Amino acid sequence: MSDYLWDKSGEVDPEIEQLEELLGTLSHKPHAATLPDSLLSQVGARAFTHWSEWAAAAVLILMGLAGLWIGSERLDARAQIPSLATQEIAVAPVETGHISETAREVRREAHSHNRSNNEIASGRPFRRRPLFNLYSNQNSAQARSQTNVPQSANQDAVSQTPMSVEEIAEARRARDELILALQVASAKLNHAQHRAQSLTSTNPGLNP
Amino acid sequence: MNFLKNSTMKLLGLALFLAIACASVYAQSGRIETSGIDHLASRASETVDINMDERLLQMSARLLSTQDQDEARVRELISGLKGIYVKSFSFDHENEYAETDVEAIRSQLRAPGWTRFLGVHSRHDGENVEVYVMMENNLIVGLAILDFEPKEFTVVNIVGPVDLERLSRIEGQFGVPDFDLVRETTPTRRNE
Repeated sequence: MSDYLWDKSGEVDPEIEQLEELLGTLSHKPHAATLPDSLLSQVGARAFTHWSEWAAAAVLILMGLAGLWIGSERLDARAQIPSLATQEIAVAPVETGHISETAREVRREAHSHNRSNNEIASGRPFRRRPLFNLYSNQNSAQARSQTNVPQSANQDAVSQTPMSVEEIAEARRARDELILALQVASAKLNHAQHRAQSLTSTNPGLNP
Repeated sequence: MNFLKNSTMKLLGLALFLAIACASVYAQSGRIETSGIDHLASRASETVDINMDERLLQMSARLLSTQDQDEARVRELISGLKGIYVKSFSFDHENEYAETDVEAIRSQLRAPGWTRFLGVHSRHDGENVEVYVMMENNLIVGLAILDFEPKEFTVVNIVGPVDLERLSRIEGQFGVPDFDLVRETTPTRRNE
């Protein structure tokens, strides 16, 4: 084997030298490769396709932010509960069969305030059962006087755990709305059952 | 270019998957979205809009007596519930809501998990009453009652384990003799 082919020492082999010249044009050149013009023209259109990428990325970012926001809202709501619980009110001891009129007035005022705020916020008055509070209070007052129970059950519930005025007002409003919601649900369920029953009674062959 | 297309399609696919996953999680919870019919409030003569989440339910339960029979029943009924949502619109005139409003609710109840428990469609008086339940391990974990009448649009959604028998007994309690949203009443079940 020729030494020139191995390590370029010794006598020059003309055939190898000729091959070196021919293939040398394809040797490594340390500069950046350039794209052909045909490809460069296509890359120009890439900017137009970018919007879909950005849209998808924006959707993902928005969904992530929405998730974070919802999570933080829930955490805030949970954090507010203990802070509300710290705002305790001093409930004066009440005599048998009597409820502190002052406390009752304060709660009533807070209750009506909350209710009117909600009605203003919704833009329409809520449809509520008329005089439910009065009705239930009268019933509980009668029951109290008949059975000599020192306080109404509601007052028991309130006094067992310390609640702030705002909490009591919110709980009362929530209770009223709960009763109303359950009555609507119950009425609608019964209505549906009756409609189905009346249908089957008039058409015994039907099975709704 | 293929890389760009592929990456874009992957991102869009991922976004779609996340959106569907979020929607299915919402649907699986037994909750239906009713904000799409809020615009009916502007046309309604009377509106009932009640949104009670778990926190409000627990808060109201604190004021419910264990000694009063009616309130004790409610207390039992709502134990374990995660939410009660009611939207009811009463109109002065007919055709105040569109079929799209109905479809906005019904379409959610075609999702997996929901079963139509009862449906009454009356061409005579134009009333449609439908009751849907979501079952999980032979337990009702979601309830939806739809009542579409010519002058009324009502959607009730209860999330959580609900006893239908107990719920049906609530009507007419608490000293309220009648509930004027319903034309037909159930005298045999009142004040049980």
